[in-house]
Amino acid sequence: MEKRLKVSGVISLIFGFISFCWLLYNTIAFEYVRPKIIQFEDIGVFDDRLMKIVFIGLLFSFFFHLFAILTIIFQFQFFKKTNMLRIVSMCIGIISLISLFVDWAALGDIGKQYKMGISTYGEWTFLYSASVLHGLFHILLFILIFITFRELRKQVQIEFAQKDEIIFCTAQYVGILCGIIGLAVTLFLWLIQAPIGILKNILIPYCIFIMIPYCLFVSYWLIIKRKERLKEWYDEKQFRDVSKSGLMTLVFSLPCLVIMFLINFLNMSPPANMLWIPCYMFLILLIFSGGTLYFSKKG
Amino acid sequence: MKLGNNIRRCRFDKDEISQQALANAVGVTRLTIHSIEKSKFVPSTLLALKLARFFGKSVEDIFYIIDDE
Repeated sequence: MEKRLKVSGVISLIFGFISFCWLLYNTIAFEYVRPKIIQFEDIGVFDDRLMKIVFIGLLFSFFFHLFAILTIIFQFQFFKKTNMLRIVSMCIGIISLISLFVDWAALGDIGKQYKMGISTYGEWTFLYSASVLHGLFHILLFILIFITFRELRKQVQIEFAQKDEIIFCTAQYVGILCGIIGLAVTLFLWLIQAPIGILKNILIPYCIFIMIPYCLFVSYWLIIKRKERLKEWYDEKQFRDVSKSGLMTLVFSLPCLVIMFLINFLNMSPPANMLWIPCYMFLILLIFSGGTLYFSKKG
Repeated sequence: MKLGNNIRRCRFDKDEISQQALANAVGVTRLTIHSIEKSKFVPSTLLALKLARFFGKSVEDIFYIIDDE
């Protein structure tokens, strides 16, 4: 296990270095080509080559993300302590990986829209935001690998746990993070009174996008648990914590649901007609995960 | 009334085994053992019996009732 952790860490570092160079190159290439595309000036062969390298770099970045996420999973399996840096890195890593596919689509769209004479302002904004996210993930992973190697060098004795609590607690942390981010985005859309037309287009994608880290983590947990019998999935304290949290979620979510219903019924805010469901979903995720973690740590 | 216990002492009497080792032996998480030791969680009869069997003692030797003052 230790060897696997070291090998995946080294591979992640190599790909990470190449990918980080690509990220720096992207920033320069974007800054060089963007003004020409926005003002619909002629694109030369040199500019075209610059952008092709951006596409090739995507491939390296994709492999970096895969190895990096794998390394974090190995770290979860190896270290028997929940670590906030690891959880945040995992969430940002998954979102950053998905952003790579959107980067690919955005770059393609920029090319097409430039030829059709349509503004590409939105696509550029996304590309720059995604670059910040990729950069953040690179930095987080470098720090994480550095800390891991330092801990491995110290030869920290790690006890084997037959019934693991790390995945259980980490799933709650991820749920809290996803719930907070989801609620923040939903409240932001509600506060700016986003038009219904835009909401119809972005509602489902942003909900899926934010829920992906939690869904992936729960799927990973289910894969681990597949060999165990259903009643062995939790121990008796975990079962009690989940039950108490479920009851708490029900009690807290009902008044919120009534408020949302009243806002809709009295037609006080048009975006609320669409935003109530993500608001309710993220609120439930936040209360349930937060409650389970609270009861679990409280004793 | 509260449920008190001697698990911590029993662990030290039994080669100073760790909470994790005890948790592995009775099939629960380390957090559960920690909560029982701190009297924050009341274990089921089955778990109490498993703990007693592991230490080779009776349930009453490990768990006792603390009356309210």
